[in-house]
Amino acid sequence: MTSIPLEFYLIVAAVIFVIGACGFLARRNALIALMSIELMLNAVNLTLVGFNRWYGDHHVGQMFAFFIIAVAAAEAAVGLAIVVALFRLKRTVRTDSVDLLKY
Amino acid sequence: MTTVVEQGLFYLSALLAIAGALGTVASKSAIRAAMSLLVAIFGITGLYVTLSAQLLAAIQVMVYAGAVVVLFVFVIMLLGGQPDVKSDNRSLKARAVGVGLFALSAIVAAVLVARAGIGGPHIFDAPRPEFGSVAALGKVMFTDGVVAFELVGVLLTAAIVGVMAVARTRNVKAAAKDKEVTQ
Repeated sequence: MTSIPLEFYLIVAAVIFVIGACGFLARRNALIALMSIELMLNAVNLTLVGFNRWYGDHHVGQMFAFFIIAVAAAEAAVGLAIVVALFRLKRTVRTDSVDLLKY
Repeated sequence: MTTVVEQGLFYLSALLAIAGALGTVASKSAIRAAMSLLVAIFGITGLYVTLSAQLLAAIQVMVYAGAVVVLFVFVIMLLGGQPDVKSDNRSLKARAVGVGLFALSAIVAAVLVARAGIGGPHIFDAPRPEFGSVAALGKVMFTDGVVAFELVGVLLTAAIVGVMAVARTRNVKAAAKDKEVTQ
């Protein structure tokens, strides 16, 4: 695979990261906010793998991406458990109805 | 692989990834967002394949499509369809500040990238034959990254215990009482 330059991958990753960040900040559904976090982690992974392809004499970038996938899976599990506990308490998954610590 | 095939794979995967990402954050219903997330993940998997990271592409499909998205769908089904109430109480001023900060950070990022002077397109060299293979990645993971690898095991165990602690019902009587109060 030598016909696509590195910059294209970085641009795609940046676009996905910005979409995920906007979704995380703007959406009020806790489940969709968690999915936006997954998008951002995936964008970071894509950047790491792209740079690892550029510095191709080792695999440290892919190793980091592997660890980030593991951390993302743990984060999704814990986040969804919190959403389930929240739903038990409040009967909603909207984050703007959870503001007890705000005041 | 010929140039046409790899360019086609790249553009198709990039399109899938970006369209899926947009669908994830823009969908009204959570289940559609989860399906769009699945599309985005398959797009990113295709990009990994074009970067000759075959093992990571396989792990991506197994962990994300096989576990994370299924978990999301499971929780969405468990919680039932949420009525999408339009009770967004953020003021116009708060929105304007948010959009302004976003535009400012976009301009700062563009200026920084322009000043860094990236130079011409970075065309990849042909990869070594073992690049991205299980043996090569496993070697680095069990030498340089062995401590982190073991700690990831600890992290996943802690996450499982934490999930059980957070999501379990304390006892049946308290749960019934909770239900009574909320209804």
